[in-house]
Amino acid sequence: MTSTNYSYSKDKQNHVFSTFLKHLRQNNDLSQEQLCLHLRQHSSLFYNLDTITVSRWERGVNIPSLAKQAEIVELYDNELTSIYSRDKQFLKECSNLVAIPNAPEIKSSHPYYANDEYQIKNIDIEDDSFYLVLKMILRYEGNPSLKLKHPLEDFFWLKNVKISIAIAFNGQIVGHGLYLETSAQNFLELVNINSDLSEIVANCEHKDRDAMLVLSSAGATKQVENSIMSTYINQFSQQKYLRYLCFSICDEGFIKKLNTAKLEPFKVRNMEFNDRMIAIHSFLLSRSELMANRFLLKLAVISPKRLVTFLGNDEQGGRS
Amino acid sequence: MKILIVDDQAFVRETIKSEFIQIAPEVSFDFHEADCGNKAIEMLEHNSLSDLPTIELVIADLKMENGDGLAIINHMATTRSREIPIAIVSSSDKRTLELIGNITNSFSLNLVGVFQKPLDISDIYASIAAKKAFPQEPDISEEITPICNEANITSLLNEENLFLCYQPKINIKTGELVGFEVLSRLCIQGDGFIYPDKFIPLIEKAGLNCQFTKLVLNQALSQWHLFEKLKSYSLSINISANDLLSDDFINYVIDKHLTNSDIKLMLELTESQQTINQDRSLQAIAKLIINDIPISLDDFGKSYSTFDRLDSIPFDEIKIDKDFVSDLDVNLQHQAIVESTIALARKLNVKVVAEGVETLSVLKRLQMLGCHIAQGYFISPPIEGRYLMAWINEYNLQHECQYVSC
Repeated sequence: MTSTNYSYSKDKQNHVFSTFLKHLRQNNDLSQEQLCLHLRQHSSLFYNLDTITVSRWERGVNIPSLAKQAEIVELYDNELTSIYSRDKQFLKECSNLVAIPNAPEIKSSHPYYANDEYQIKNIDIEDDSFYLVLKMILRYEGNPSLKLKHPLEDFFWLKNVKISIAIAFNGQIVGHGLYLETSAQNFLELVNINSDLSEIVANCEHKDRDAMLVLSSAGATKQVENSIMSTYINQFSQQKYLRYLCFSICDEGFIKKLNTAKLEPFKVRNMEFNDRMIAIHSFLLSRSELMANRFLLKLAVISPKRLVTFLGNDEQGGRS
Repeated sequence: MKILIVDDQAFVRETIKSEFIQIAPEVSFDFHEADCGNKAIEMLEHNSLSDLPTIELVIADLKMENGDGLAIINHMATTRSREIPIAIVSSSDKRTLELIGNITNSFSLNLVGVFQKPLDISDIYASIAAKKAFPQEPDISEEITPICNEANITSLLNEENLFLCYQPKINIKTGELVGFEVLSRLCIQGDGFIYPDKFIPLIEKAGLNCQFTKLVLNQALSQWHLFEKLKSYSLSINISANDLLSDDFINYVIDKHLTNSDIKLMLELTESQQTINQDRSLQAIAKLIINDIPISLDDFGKSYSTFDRLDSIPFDEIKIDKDFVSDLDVNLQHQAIVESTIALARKLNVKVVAEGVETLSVLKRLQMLGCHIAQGYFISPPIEGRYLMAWINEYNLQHECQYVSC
């Protein structure tokens, strides 16, 4: 079986979801039967629900999948991210994803960076380094379906493109994320047709935006990589009009990371580029799918403010 | 470095050898040669059974008498030689090489690459070196067993873990919403969604297919009962050909259909060559059709013997597999297949559903070809039950606006 330690505290009754259910019933003055009936009437996922199961959930004997938890929590106008972010144990697990570990011999893909402190910074078109960093990221990713037909400087629409970078000592960049808000249909155009980066952004009216599209995401270490991911996943989770989180990427390391997180591409497209075959992997995750994945849920809970705390608070004591 | 070179032409083998020595003079090579596939297979077999040093690379030509490159690939895929890096060389055109690459990858062999003749040995050597420099980490800790596997599928298969989504089908000509296909996911604790391509084979193997279809049927029907409006749309449920072999199951479905007669139930039958043509399955299909449950033939075109089924069974619709549809605006072969399928269906008076419509340009092309119904991400990704009504209202509103402005 899988080891799922997502916030299973030793005291089973204190599971985040159990606590939520108990408070929900108390605050609304509902009996277990009434809650059960209400769920049956509002969701086909619970068409066969009985009070025995509700009682087991409340006692933490078993807990429904995150996907079903999300359904229940949202039915009562709450969010999975908000109830989980109130749980200390869960936050600790979140922190472990991004905090700089104690061990000095950490695997890094960067020759001059191992395990040093870093900061996450968001840059936009106003930033002096914007074009340089954008060019660098596009070169890093080498996605042949993504073209830039004109010199970068011509495009005012680049204001919609968002970049997060991780910076270590002396301002060196040790991680980056390139993402933007668009529509799922625009994303599919990119997946099937060669698009100009400008078209993806320019073709989309603000009101049609329902997707966040990630075009590149990388970090010198696992922790940096996770921090970068948390910046856009947290943004996604905060913007309710965004229904889909999409990736169109060809960096093998990152594809593998998504696979390890149990995510699968819905399409792999092979394109020839400079005599090499490049496999572009496309992922499309619905909001609930993201919340149902404990790794992504953890990242979603890490707000920029929390990230600063996590990165600043090295609980294991000083590093070498 | 122990290398096995398989090519029917001696001079090709000689060139490969001398070029390897030239490129990497510091490496001591131990070359072994075979002039045909069968001999190579013999050598691989012998090598794996005895205590000889392991072969570190196989270079194999595709076209040979007495066992070709494919025979070697097949052999390696089924034996302990699976891990040996293999480089395929051939003078075939690019498309054939691509196909061979896909086959080899699907066997999860350790493919160095597929190389076109005339050979550039430095290219092959660089690919091997690259593989060595970045050995594929076994990642044992994380990939050891998939979340659902043969051992636990029985315990995972229950209402608790089943999570249904619904993907809309629209009438291409009018844009009208006609129905939904039910798509199942398993959600286990915090492991996200598990898709049917992973768990359906396990379910079939464990013989749990009827039990599973019943679970899906019940959850989907209860969704359709939540909102009166849903009843104007058809509800398509996937069944496997194996389901047809159970009389109990067929009676169960018919009974459900009778007690939920206000719901337009439809069954999508995934083709499987052996089962469908059996008398028993034909009888089951007939029984369902007589009881007013329309049958749709799923994944049309994926297997070879689809056509003979069309004249023996009065299907209500056929669904063209998404592999043919999603790129039909740029892939002329796929367009030809889709076009002829539509023409055939029209003569047989069967509706055609195109799956995997992802772009406007594909939808427009399908409309030109006279396809009836479209389904795919362009219209919408599968929708969860709780968002279904909101999506329908939004779609119908937009559709009305477009219709008025036309």
